[in-house]
Amino acid sequence: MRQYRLMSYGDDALLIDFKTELGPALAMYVAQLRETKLFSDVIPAYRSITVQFNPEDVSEAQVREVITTALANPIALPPGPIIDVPVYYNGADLRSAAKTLGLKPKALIIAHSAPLYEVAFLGFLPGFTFLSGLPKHLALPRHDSPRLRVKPGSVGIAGAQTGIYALPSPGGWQLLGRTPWKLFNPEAKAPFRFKAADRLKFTPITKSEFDNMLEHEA
Amino acid sequence: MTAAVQIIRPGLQTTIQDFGRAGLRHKGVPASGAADPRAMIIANRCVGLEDGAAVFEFTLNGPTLRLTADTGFAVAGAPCEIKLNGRVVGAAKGHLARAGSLIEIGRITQGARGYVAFDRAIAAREFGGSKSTHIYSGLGGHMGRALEKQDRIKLGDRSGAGLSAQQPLRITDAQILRIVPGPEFRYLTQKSKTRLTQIPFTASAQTDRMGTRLNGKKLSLKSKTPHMVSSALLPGTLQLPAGGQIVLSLVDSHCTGGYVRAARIIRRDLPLTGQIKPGSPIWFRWARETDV
Repeated sequence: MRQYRLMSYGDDALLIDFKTELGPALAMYVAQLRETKLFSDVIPAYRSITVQFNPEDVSEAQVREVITTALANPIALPPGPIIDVPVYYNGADLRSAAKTLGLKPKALIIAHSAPLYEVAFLGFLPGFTFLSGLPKHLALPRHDSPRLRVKPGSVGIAGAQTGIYALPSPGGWQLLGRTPWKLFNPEAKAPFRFKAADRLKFTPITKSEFDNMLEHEA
Repeated sequence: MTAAVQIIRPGLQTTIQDFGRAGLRHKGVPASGAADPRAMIIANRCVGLEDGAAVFEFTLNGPTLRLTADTGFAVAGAPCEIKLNGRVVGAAKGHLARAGSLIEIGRITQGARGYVAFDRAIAAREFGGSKSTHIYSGLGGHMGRALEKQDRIKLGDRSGAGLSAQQPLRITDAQILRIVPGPEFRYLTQKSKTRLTQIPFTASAQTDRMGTRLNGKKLSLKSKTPHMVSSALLPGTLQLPAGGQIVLSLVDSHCTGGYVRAARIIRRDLPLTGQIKPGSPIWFRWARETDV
């Protein structure tokens, strides 16, 4: 089992802090914690899982015990489906990012679209997709001052993370490209395009392919 | 004619809220909901509706509304002037407004938010079992946004439960908020750990339902503070960016963040954060075992 620490995060939440990034094990731990039906929310991230509970129903000591048991018995899950995601690599930061990394823009596109990424978790705002599997040599610093508006579908890098903006929002990630796909549609029966453990493969597309596939309003 | 509320003047920011959509933070969906649920509950009880029925939440400056049909209503929360057809009426009390009546809600004098409940269900978008508006993602409420002049919000049938008066809340600008240490508290310098509960802070102009940046003496992080990876962010968190100014996350805050989570407000005091406005003095106190 992975090493972890339990840390208090307020009087109604505990943070399970793992030493390293979890990868596929994350979804298995989350599934087991949900199974306990004790938590109003189970919030995974790269190296942590935060659980929220009602302190009137259960004490922190009880919650600690439940977590210890749950983490010793993760639910085995099959790997998620592989999804080919079209990306038009023409982001505002593509050239400067490539320069920072000592690569030609084309080489950056090839390097970023080569791996099979895994959806680690959704977070930030509805549908924002955090991926694991970014090659270490593509890590880039976050912008010091965030952009006021990043377009939905934007694919970016921040630190050792890569991910996709689902909604227009402020953001400090370095933007490499954009998928024409809508990732969050509150009116749809299944509002979220991706879920944790899905495996994504980015396919570079051209401007005209992007325009033809565009699902975003703007 | 179907019952409806017409927005004559929207006020500074009026949104439809209820108890919010808990349990979706793992999809990146913030809970939202009434910023001061205590006041929402009082307003709903005055009109005989369940505690979490959808209400109008107004901010600093209240709306002017016209009702197209006989409707019971109540206003609760931060103190402000309430007029029904030009006559001042009391807060935390159900009133009957006849068809065509005008409700004018004035400027809030202490605190930040008040609530208007009707004895009819408010028609609104639903997502995740809640009508709460989250403006940043366009969820819930009326078209996912704050109410605007000339909006017309449909109302359901009168509940018929009867109107009553409730004990009003006492709301002040100054807030004392009880906290417990957060997951990264240990990265604060010794001096900052002490300062946190010993110096006053003031809510800055950057204050909304997502969060508030606090002014005050700067706090600092130890030099060996590691780089943070994205992790869960819950409402009521005192985040400490490298700049040293606390950013307090509130009901609409995003679900993951990357700043040091220095401390968190205890569950019981979270509703008080809904009354913070720019300029509000804020003190933090360590919660005692018996507080939580």
